[in-house]
Amino acid sequence: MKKIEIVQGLLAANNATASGNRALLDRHRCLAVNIMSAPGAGKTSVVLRTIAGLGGSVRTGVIEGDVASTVDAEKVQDAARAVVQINTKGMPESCALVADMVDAALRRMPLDRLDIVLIENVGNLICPSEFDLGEHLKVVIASTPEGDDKPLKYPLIFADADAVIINKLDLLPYVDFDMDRFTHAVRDLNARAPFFPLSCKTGEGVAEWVAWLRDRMHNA
Amino acid sequence: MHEYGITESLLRTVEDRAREAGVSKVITIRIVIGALTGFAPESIEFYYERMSQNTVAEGAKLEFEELPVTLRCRACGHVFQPEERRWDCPSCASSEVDIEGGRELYVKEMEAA
Repeated sequence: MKKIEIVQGLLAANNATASGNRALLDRHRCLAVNIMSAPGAGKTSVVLRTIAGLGGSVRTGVIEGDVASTVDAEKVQDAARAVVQINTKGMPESCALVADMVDAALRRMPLDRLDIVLIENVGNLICPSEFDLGEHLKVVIASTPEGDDKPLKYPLIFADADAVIINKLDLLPYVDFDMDRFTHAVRDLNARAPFFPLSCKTGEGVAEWVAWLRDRMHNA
Repeated sequence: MHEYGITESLLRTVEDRAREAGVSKVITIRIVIGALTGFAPESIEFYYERMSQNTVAEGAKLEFEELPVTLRCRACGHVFQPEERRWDCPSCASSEVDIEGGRELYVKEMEAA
């Protein structure tokens, strides 16, 4: 019997592909944003509001990760310059996008004619936090009906976020969501992420989020 | 379900090292998983059993070593392992922390014949 030391990260292959994706995006001066949330928190609504908010002068592409349908891609088709749907059904890693899937999607996009790519991840607060896709920014959306305890339950995804959107602000009077408790719980894990409370329904707060994102593009 | 890709990566790594080392049978594989990762050992075992058939590592025993969550207090720098859901610093009571450990995922070593 012989003992053989290995010490090899099991995410190394994914991370290498992600680095390749990032280099490709950088060559095209294209900012990529990985948008993550639980199912139903409003990822597609945020994508639509973001495209509208950025306006016609910003050329936006969207990668839609979805388990089994093209519903979300159809919704954004009219708004975005380019939409690529990744159906993860049949792929074993169907609980999150991985770098290979994004690599394949980026190859189908006219990157030299895009300024920003919004990547709508699969609705899940656990698995997406493990996989670097090659994005420049990780954005997590929480919505008020989900309750304010999500950062305690899913610390990793909130610890790594570059921005946290709190959607469905219009429902705040009707649900048990303590804004202070939520922002403190995130801040305890993450010193840097700004908060954007907003409502995709009414449009309240969307301008602040879009202004922040636009600023990241200029820094890219 | 995201363990599928991880298990592929595990098997490929083990096969490569077995070839380099010139061994004929892999008996035990030790894998380190941080407590914060969402990876389930039983899912890795499930995929491994099927994927490893007819390889040098078929039937190898997977041993998982879980590394605890380790936090660093942003206020006083104290490094500690928190108790369940109580992540404030035991030294200065600040609740602002950075995650130092608990997100590891790697294959550490194997025993082979």
